[in-house]
Amino acid sequence: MAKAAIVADRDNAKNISIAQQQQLKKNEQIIAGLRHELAALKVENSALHEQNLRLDRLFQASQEARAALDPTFNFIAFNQSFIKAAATIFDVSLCLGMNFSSLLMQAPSCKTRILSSCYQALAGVNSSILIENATGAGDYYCYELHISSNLNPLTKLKELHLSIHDCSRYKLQEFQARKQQAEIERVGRSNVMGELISALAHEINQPLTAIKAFSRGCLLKLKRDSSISALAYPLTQIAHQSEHAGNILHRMKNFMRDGSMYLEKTDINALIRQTLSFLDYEFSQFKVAINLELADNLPELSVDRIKIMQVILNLGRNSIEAFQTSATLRPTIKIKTECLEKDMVIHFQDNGPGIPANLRDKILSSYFTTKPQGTGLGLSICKTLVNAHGGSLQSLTSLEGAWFTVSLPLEVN
Amino acid sequence: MQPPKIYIVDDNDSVCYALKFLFDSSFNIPVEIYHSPLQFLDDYDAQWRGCLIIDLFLPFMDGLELLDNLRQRNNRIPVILMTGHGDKTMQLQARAKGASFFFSKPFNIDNLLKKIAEILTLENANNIV
Repeated sequence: MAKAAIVADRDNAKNISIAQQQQLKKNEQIIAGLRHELAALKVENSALHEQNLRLDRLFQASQEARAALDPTFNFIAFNQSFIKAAATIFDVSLCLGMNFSSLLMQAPSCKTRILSSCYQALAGVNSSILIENATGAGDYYCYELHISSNLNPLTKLKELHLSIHDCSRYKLQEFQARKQQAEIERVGRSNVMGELISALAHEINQPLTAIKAFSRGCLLKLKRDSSISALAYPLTQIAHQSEHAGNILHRMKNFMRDGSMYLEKTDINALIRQTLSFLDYEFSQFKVAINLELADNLPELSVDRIKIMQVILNLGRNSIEAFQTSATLRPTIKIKTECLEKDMVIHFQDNGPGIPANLRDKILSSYFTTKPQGTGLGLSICKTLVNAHGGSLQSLTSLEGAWFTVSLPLEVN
Repeated sequence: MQPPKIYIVDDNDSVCYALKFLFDSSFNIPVEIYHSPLQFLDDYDAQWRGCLIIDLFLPFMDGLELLDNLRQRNNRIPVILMTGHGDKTMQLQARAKGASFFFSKPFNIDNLLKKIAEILTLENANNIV
């Protein structure tokens, strides 16, 4: 029976080892499987690592400056471009873990704006801030700081994403373009005006020469014949006119060159009367009646007298010409001055043919004229002269005749 | 020998009549006005004496061309050139082409009258001799 026991024992041992063997085999399989998985994971990890490095290189090399902050505003990531921008704007060398709000102490001017944008972003509202150095201290720069927030799915915390866009070059180009545009316009204007002034100078030289020669001739005649002392008055007028003409030329040239205005405190009513006296001859020749409604106690206005006189003369001559072409019966010009809250207004009205509604705007612009011999520059020059005072020249609707208003601000800018 | 006259060639009416008025009041010699250089050249005679006043900017031909023309015709009358657009180059050119004097408008009336008086006196003296 011992043999049976031994055999039984041996069988048992066999059974145990079979089970063990099976288990071992299973374990081996599991281990092999795990090894396999581990190898795959290692490959994956390696690939991820490589991808991570690649993405980090891309991030670092990006021209766009980017950074991330944790909810307490500590830096948790940034790229090279951001480091550079931060150095320029905040004068600081960034390192991870630095606190953004304490960094902002270096730039108090934008601190409040930036911090409030950060809080807004945490609340879900993204925004952009412009940071510009236009003070002239150091190189010009202009940066656009975008602040947005992003929920980190792993930490479940909101992170702030900052990106800084350097628009210095763009802004400078914009500035240059605007400057060029202004320059082109100025040259364009001055080319037209330059030619105009030359033509004007030449034209004015002729009557000035005539005036001088006539007046001297008169004086010589006076010497021989004292009975014509009545020539004294016209001679004085001639002298004044030639003086005026010379002044116009001189002032126009200066204005053309640098927009200079020779401002003097002036009694506008007196200026109007004086200017009208220059047109005495023409008014009497065409039997034009003058109706003055000049307000009392007008404050003195700081104006360039010659320029305002030019405007009134031009309006006067336009009316006279209009009277002539339409043979107006009882031609009348009414001039009224009034003082409003912020401006003084000179109203210039006539009872001539008036200006058709569709031409009212055009007539104040350059080169437009309805006169056969006109150069069309009179009213537009007047407009420029009035605008130069900060005022405006307008053509208004009227039942009868033309109605122009010259508004001049009471306060000079 | 023609009697001396002051000849004015300028297309601007006012300037011409103003100068005529001035010369009538200062000198005792006739003043002739021409608005067109062509008309002037048509009438021109090398026998003319006196003083010639020409504007630089004329229709059909400018003052310098007119000077050239006169030189070709052996002009002996002294020429005064005037212009509203004076500049140094213009002046030198005018002198080179035979202008005796050059004035920029608006010129000094005294200087002009003095110059013309000088010319007329010289002419007179020459003629007497």
